[in-house]
Amino acid sequence: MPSPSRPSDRVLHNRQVRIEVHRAALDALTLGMAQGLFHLGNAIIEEASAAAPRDPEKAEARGVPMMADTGSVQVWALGKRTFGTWAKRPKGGKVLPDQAVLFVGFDSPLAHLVELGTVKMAARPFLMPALASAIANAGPYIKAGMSRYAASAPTRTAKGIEIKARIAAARAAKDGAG
Amino acid sequence: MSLVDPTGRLLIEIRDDAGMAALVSGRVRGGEPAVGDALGPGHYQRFVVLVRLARTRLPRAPIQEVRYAARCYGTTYQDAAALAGAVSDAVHARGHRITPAGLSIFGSFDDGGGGGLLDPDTSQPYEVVFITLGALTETLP
Repeated sequence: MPSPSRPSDRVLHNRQVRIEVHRAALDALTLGMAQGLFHLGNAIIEEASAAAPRDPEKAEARGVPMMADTGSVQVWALGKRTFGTWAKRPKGGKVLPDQAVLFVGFDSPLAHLVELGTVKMAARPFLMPALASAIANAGPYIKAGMSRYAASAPTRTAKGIEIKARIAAARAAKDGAG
Repeated sequence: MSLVDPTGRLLIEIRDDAGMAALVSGRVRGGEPAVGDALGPGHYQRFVVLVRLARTRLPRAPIQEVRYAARCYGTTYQDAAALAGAVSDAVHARGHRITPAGLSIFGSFDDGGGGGLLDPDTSQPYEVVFITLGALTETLP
């Protein structure tokens, strides 16, 4: 078998080029996307709530909130919950640390029965149609979220510096007292 | 041209699948179960109810993506899971086909499912299989 020929100078040069990944910039993009996803999720819930069946009398008799009013949004980014009101990640929801993931749902034991139907009740889908129509128009939400995140960068930096200064002052005061 | 609904075709494909026919004897329904499908405890039988959840239509091409939920009722949780697997096998990764009526389906896929559930009325175990299907919005001549 003939020995491989020497790689060209260009190939050798390319092998020596060091690629630096600006991790913070990539994280900022992910967080901006998360902000856009949060607004998208709110739009989905708003549309789904409007389409969901409402029975205030039954809800009042049972002493529970109406199913249509239990919609929640949760966004995970960089492995942490960044936006949303749900305390826990939805059951079965998987989140990878380098992704932004949006969960939308209705926190009611009846929601899946209304959406998918039962043997005695026809399905009345309200979440999936809202999701399908919103996904088609998701682009502007993501774009706006990223723009907002980028625009708020100076404020976040200033706030970070302020927090660091307060921590340093508190530590100094503690050391002084000790 | 009116928007065609591929639900009937999908239902026939699931019903006529060899694996499904052996399990449910044709009890694959659209929208709601037929009379006599849903029985009480001790008399459970397998059946499938196919429900259309949402449809997305592309703005500039005659293509639609339709999302379905197939509720697969079994005699036990394990039976429901086996039935859900059979439904998945019947539809998943099936490529382009054109029906004699001119309906063109590009592909259908199992888009996930949940764990075992209990029907609130009969307590019969069931599993849900979500199915996505891409099709033309018009029939071919």
